[in-house]
Amino acid sequence: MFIFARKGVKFYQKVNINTEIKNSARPEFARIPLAALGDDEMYLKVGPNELISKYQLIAQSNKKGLYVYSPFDGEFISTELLRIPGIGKVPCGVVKTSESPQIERPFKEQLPEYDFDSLIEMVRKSAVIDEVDGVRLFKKLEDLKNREVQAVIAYGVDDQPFTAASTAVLLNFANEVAAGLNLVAHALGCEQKYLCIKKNYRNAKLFTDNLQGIQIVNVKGKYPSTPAVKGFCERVNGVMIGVQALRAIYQAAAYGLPQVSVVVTVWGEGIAEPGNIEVPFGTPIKTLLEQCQAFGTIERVIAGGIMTGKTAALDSPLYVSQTALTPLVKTREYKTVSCIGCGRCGSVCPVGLNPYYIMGAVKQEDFARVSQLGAASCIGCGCCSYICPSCQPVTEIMKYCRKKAYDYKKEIAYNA
Amino acid sequence: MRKPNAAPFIHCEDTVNTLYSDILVSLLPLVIISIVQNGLRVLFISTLSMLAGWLAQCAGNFVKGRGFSAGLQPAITGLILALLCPVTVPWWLPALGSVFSVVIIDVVMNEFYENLFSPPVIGWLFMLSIAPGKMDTYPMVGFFNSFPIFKSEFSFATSQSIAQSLQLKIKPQFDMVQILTGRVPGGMGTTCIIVMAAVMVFLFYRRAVAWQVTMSMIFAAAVIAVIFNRTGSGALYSILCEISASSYMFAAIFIAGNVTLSPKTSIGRVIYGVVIAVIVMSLRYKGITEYAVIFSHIVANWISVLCDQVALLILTGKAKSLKGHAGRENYGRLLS
Repeated sequence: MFIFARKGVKFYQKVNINTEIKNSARPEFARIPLAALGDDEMYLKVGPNELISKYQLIAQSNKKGLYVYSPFDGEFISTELLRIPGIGKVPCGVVKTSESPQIERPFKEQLPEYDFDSLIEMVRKSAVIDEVDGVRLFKKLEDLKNREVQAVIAYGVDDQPFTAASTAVLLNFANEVAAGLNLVAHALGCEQKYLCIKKNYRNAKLFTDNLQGIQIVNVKGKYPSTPAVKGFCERVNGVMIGVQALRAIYQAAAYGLPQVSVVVTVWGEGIAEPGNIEVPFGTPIKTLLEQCQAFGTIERVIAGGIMTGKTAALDSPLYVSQTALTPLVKTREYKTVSCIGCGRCGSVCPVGLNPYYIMGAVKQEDFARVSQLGAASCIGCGCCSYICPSCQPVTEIMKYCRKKAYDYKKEIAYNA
Repeated sequence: MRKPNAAPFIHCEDTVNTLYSDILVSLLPLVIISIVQNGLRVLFISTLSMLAGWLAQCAGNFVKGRGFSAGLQPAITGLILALLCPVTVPWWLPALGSVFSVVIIDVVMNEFYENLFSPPVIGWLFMLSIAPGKMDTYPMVGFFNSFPIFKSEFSFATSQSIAQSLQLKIKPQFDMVQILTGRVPGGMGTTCIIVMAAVMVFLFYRRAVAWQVTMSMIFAAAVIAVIFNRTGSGALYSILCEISASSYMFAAIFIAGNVTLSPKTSIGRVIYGVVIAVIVMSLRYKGITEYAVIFSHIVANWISVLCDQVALLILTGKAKSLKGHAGRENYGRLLS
């Protein structure tokens, strides 16, 4: 079975990265993102200079159901406000880490069977976050209460250049992902289970034995594949969950462990040893670059993929939605000329928008038309900027248009 | 120069310069074929026309305070105009047409309306207006013809073009091989169908022209040529005659296929190509030959945006099958 992403752009990149997953080096200080601390409902469970252990609850919001666990043993120092790429300024807990003793976790031979509500509770308490969209998984599952779901789709596609984290997780922990998928499918009462993968179809056959009852969907075609997979999701009336989140569900069910780490691909110019690393939340980017033997002067580091990611500071901590880290030795410069109206941006847009007309409308400050042209549905994949022969920052303009379209819709709703 | 501050941090190889250089490179085989047939006069006229267009753009930019420089586009306009003319035109005519089109369209009109008319079309119309007799008088076809390189006026043996024969309801005197290899009277670089087909494939591959426009123009003309056969011969001969007459195929590739002027949606481009083909063929059946392609392009340039609107209307009809395709669903509201 396959899905074809017809629209988008094609990269000619050979996937030759080592898919082994290494453990991250321990940083001296970690800054653990405490998502909504500062909110009235969220409070710290530890005090300054208090010794904490790995997997210990350090912050909690009873009303919102948010839990933050420590990924390290060490000493909790204080909190500070830090900018996390793609998320913004969030309070982080500064932890002076220490060596963690190896502890054998009790394994539950027979995985517990969850119903819908108990699964949500377990996912909430385990702080599982879906790496595909950075949303807390329990929120995603709660949204399904009013919807009849017939399929669960594991999303294991790496379609941006310099990314291989999902492939690595599948090759190393296929049975854990499969078990997580089975748990969710059982709780939701779904019989259809799919695993979406790209390029690594042959590799997938190696672990087919571990995927009892799970159908492999090969995602072919261009970048981005997400709209095509979402379309498939709607056709089969399913819910899409990232493979790392599914693995975290399995670990929570089997060992009672919360999610405190994410597998990140560190790859790009100036990296001597590219690879996939399991990184505890809050590990500074600098630690990972040192581990992968970064050389030369790195001009900037992109967290979250070169097509959609953000520039990150070297001391900024990594978070769950950033499954790729791409250092650039030199950012290329492009000669920008005025738009020639070739329409290539529209021809590659995976959601069928026409940036040429949208940009024309925003130039005339006609936000009603911007909204009518569907700017709000831009997914920010970056294809339009990538393909533009005039080297215009189309994606940036489209993001602005998307904001304006949202504002316009809000205004209309308010006036109505 | 722009250093991206936001994603994406990479860019594909194609830029405006590569796009225009692809078109320029694809015009060169046509120049070479024409030199083989018509001698070095072709080279002189082509070079002069290109230079004139480029210098006109440079001067225009200089007057506007943008420095004395220009891209490849005016040079392409100049070369297209030169290749549209018979080799016997006065050497200054394509150069003058080139200057006129660049000044009127690129320098003056683009300040108020971007991409309203195609510069080669305006230049072509200008040349036909000021020297109609020179533009539709074709010499006999030969190899390395010894036309004087620098003379404006000289005598030569004339021949009837395919378009002129069809207008007089006479079967053209050329066989299919001659038509395919360009051994027929016509514009300097617009007769050799085989070479044009080859460069067309190259330009499609490089995405330098809107293939939907070019292909729909050719297919629509072919269908009309089969249904309303004017040649009195087979269907294939009729198709070849119609698509080679009065530089139709050349215009389909290099003028109508111009990505900057054609509609921005695929369906819009197909409609655009079909509209041009229908207008050209209708005018031809009404007895207008040389001007048919130009008039159709001027009309098509006007309706380019309308073609996109119709395309959006068609896409709206498909919205049911595109559940969750929010972008396209919104097209419906655009038209309401």
